Amino acid sequence: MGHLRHRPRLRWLVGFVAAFALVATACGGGGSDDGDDQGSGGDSAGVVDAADCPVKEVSSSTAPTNITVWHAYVGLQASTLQQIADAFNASQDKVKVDVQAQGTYEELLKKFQDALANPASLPDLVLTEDTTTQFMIDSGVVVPAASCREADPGSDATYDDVLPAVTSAYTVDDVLWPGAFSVSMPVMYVNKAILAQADVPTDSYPQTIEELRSVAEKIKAANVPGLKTPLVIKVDSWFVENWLTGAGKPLVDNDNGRSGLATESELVQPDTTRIYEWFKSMIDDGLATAIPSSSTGVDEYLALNAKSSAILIQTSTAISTVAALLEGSVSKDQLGGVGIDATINTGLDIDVALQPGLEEAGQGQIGGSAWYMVKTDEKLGVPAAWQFIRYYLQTPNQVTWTLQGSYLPVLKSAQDDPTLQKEFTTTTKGKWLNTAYQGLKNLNPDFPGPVIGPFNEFRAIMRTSLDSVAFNGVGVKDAIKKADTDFQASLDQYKTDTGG
Amino acid sequence: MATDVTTLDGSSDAAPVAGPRPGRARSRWAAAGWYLVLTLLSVIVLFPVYMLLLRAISDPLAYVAEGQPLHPVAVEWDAFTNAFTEASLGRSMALSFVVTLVIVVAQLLTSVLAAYAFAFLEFPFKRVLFAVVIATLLLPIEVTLVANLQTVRDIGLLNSVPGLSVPFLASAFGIFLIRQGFLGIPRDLRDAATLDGYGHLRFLFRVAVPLTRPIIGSFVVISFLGAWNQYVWPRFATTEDSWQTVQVALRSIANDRVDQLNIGFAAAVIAALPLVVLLILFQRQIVRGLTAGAVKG
Amino acid sequence: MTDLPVTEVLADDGEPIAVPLGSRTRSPARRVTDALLGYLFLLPALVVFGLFAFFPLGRLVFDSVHRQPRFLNRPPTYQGFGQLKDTLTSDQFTSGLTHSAQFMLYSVPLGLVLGVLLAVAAHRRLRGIKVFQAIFSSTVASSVAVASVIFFTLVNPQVGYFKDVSWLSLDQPQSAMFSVALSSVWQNLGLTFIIVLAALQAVPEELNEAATLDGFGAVRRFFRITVPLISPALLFLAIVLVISALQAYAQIEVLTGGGPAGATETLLFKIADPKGIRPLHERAGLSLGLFALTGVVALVQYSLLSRRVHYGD
Repeated sequence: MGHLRHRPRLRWLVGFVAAFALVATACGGGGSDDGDDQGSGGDSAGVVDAADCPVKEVSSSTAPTNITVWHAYVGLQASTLQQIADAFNASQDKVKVDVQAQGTYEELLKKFQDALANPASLPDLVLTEDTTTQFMIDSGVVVPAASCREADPGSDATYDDVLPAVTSAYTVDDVLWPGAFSVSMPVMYVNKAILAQADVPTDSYPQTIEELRSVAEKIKAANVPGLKTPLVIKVDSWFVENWLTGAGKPLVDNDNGRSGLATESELVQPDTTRIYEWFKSMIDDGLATAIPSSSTGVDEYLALNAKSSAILIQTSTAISTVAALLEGSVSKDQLGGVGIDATINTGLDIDVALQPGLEEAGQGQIGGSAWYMVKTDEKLGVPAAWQFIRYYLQTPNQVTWTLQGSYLPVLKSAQDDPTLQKEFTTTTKGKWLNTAYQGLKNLNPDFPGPVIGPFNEFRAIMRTSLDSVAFNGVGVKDAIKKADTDFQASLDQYKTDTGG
Repeated sequence: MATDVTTLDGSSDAAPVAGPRPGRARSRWAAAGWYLVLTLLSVIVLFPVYMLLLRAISDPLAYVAEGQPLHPVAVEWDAFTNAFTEASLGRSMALSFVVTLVIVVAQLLTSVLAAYAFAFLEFPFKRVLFAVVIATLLLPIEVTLVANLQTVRDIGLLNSVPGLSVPFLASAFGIFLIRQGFLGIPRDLRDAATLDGYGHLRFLFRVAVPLTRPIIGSFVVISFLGAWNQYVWPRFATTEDSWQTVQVALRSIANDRVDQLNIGFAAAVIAALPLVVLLILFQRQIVRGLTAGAVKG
Repeated sequence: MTDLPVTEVLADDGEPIAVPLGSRTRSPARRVTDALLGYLFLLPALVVFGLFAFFPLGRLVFDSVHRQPRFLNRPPTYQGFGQLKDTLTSDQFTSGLTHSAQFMLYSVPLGLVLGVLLAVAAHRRLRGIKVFQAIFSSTVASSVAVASVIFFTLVNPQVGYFKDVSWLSLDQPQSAMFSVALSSVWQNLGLTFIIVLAALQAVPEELNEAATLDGFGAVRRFFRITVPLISPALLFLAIVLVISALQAYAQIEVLTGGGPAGATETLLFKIADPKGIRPLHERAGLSLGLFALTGVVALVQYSLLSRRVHYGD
C-alpha cells in the first residue's frame, strides 16, 4: 500500500487538511497460515509467558502505574489518540498514559532503535508501522499480546471480535505480537464521469490488472479533453507486495516469514515479472503517469483532481482528504501557499472501488500501524499498557478512531454501531470507507502477507527498482534481478544481526 | 608617512598604513565612481538579508500569490511574536545562552590555566603536551562526532546542558592565543613580581590576566561566537524538540511550518540579533581575534 | 626596581621563552612544586581533550572494525581492518570526497576573490567608508543556520526568489552544489573581508607611491605589489575557507537535505547521517577518512605557511 513516508516538511498537509492522511499505510504482514491464533499455549520459541503480563497486579496496586506511549501520528489522528488517552486516564486511576509524538514512522523506529541501547529510555507502548513486525520480535524487548491474552482470559471476547484478516496479519509463528491495530487498505479512486465518457461501465470495476489496462485503453481511445493519461501511479513497493500477496504468492521463504525467520528472497517469480511488465507497458503506452517514489508532494491526488488522470490507486486513509477536497472544504489558497498552483475542482464524480489484483480485486495485505508492548524497568508497564489497549479496542473508541482518524474498523461489531452505519450510508466519505471496510472483511486470512526483517530496506530497494524501470529505461529482467540481489544481501545482513 | 586610514579594529598602528591617494583633478569623478561601486556591492551583500526581512513581515501565501515581488506584501508583524509563542524560540534562545555561557566560561578557565602552565612553568614533557594540545586541532567535533555521540549517549547526557557543552569545554585555539599573550609580558615585570613574593596564582590573577585583557577579551568574543553558532553537535546530541538550541530550532521551524515560513524567517532574524549586537559592541575585539593569526603587524 | 642578573633564554626552536619566574634560580623543591602546578593547570584541558578528542579517535577505529547489529542491545562483532579498508575504498567514501571537493572548488576561490574585491573597494579614503566597511563585514554576524535560512528564501525550489534561475537550481546536481556553496561564500564574506582589509592596511603606502612614480598602473601595482604582500593573509584565509568547506553541514541539511539524489552529500553529511541510514562502522570509517583529510590540509597549511615565514614575507 502507499508508503508515503514523507519528510516533516509535508506535515502541514496533514495538519490542516482534515486527516489528509499522507501517513500512508504500508501494507502489513499477515497472520499464520492456519489462521488459528495463539492463546492455546502454542508458544513458538517459548516467548509466550503470562508471567510477563501480571494484569491482576495493576488492578491491585495502590499507586498508579505511569506508562509512555510513542507514536508517529500527526494531525487529526494524533489528536484523536490523545483524546482517547485522556478519556482513559480520566476513567480510572490505576494507569496513567503519557502519549508522545515521535515524528514520522522512520524517526519513531530510529528512536526506538536508539532506545534499545539505553533501555531506561524505552517506552512502554510503541505504535510502529506494520512493516516492523519482525524487527519488534527480534528486538528482544517486546512482550507479545499472546502473553497478556493468556494472563487475561477476559480479553478473548474482544479478540474474537477482531476481523480474522487483521489478527492473522500480525501473527507470526502462531503468536500474536501487537495488541491493537490501525488498519488501512489500498483502494482505487475513479473519476466516474470520465469513465462514462469512454463508455466504460461504472457499475462494476476491473478485477485484474489486465482488465484495468483494457479500461485504460478504452479511456485513452475516447480522447477525453484535458486527460493526460488514464491512470496515475505513485511509484511504490506496496503494489508489488499487494498483488503478490493477493494471489497467494510469497515474497520470502519460511511461509512468507510466518513460520520462521525469512532468509531467502523469492522475489524472482513469474508474477513479479508480470507486475513489472504491466507497470512498464502502462507507462510506455501512455496509459499511466508514474510519479517518482521520492516525490514528497501530493501530485497523484492533484492529477486526479485536475482531471489529467481518471484512476488512482492509493491508501484508504486518504479517503477523508479526497472527500474534503471534492466537497470544497479545503481551499485553494491553503494549497497555494506552498507553491502548488492547483485549481481545486469540486464536485467531481469520484468513486472508490476495491483495487484490482492479479486474480481478483480487493485481495492483498493490510497496512497501517500496530501497538507493541515493551518490557521496561517499570515492572507493571506491560500489563498497564495492556489495559490501555483493551480500552482502545472498545467499540465506542474504535468508532471514534474510524470516524476521526479515517482508519478502518477492525471489529466485526463495529459494523453494527449506529453512528458508523449512519456515516457509512449517508456521507461520501462514509460510503468510501465502507467500500474499503467490506474489502477488509473479505480479505483472505490464510495468506496475510510477508514478514520481513529488513522490511524498510526491502521497500527502498523496490522503489529504486521501479523508479529505474519507469524513469531510467532499465529493463524489467535486469531491474528484478538487481532488486533480488540487493534484497538477498539485506536479508543476509539481517540474519547476521540476529546472531543467526 | 602615517596616514590616518580607519582600521576596523580601531587601532592606529604605528606602522604606516596604506591608502591609495586620490588624485587631485579626478578626485570628484573617482569618488563618485567608487561610491557607486561600493553601493552596488553593498546591495549585493545585503540583498539576502533584505529578502529575509521582507519575507518575515509578509504574509507567505499573499507573497507567493503576488509573484514574489521585491516589496513586502500584506505586512503583518505577527510572525515575530508567533516565533516565540508557537515555535518556542524563547526557550531555544535561553538554552543557547546557557550552553554558550557554560562553554565560554569553561574555555576561559581551562585555556587561561593551561596557557599559564605553558608560558610560565617548567615540567617534564612540556613540549610533548603542547604538541598534544595543538594536535586536537586535527580532531574537531566533525571528525569525532560519531564517537562522541556514543559517549554522550552512554553516559546518559543526551538532551541536557552538560551533554550540549561537554565536548567544547577546552579550546586549543584559546590556549594558543592566551599563551601568546602571556609570553608577551616583559621579564622585568615577572622578576619584580617574584621578588615581591608573588606566587603563581597571585601572579596569574593580579598581573598576567589583567595585562592580557585585550587578547582574552578577543578570545571570549570569538569563543562566544563559536559556541552560539554550533550546529552539528546540538543537532545530534539532542533528540527532543524541547532541547533544541536556537540554531537547530531554526531549521526545524522552517521545516515544520511550510505554510507559515514567515515564522521561520522571523525566527532567523531574531536569532541573528544577539550576534549583530555583539558585532556592533565588540567589533574591535572580533577583528583583533580574527586577524590574530592572519596578518602580521 | 632592583638590578637583577638577566639571562636571555632561548628555547630550542629559537623562540624566546618567558623564563618562569626566575626558575633558573629556583630551588629544587620549588621546581617540583612548579612542575606539579604545571600538570595541575593543564589537567582540566587535558581531561577534556582526552575524553572528547583522543578517546573518540580510538573509538572510531574500534567502531570501524566492528559491526554493530541493528539491535543495539546486542554486542558488536569484530570484522577486521578489512572492513575499514572497504569503507575507505567504497563508493560512499569516494562520492563523499568528491562532493566535498566540489564544495571546496565552488566556495573557496569565489570566496577569496569576492573578499578581495570587497576589501579593495572599501580600502580607500572616502567619507563614510566606515559604513561600507561595516556592511561588508556584517555577515560575520550570521550563523550558518541563519545563512541557510536566508538562502532558503533565495533558492528553495518552491518558494525561493531565484527558484527559476537554472544555475542555482536545487533540482540539478551541479547547480545544487553551487547554490549550497554560495551560501557558504556569502556567510564567509564578512570574515574574508575583515582579514583581507587588515592585510591591505598593513601594506606600506610608500611602496605604492614609489610604484606610481615609476609609472606602474593601478592594475599592475595591485598584482605586482599588493597581492604578494597580502599573500600570507590570503593563504591563511584559503586554509580557513577550505576547513570551513570541510565542516559545512547546516547549509546542506537546510537547503537540499543531501539531494538531489545524494548529489550534495559531502563527506561530513554522510558521516552525520541525519536520516539514520548508514551503519555505524561506515560512519566511523568515513570519519577516519575525514580525519586523514583534515590532517592533509593541516600539513599543507603548515608547510606553505612556514615556508612563507622562512623567506621573510
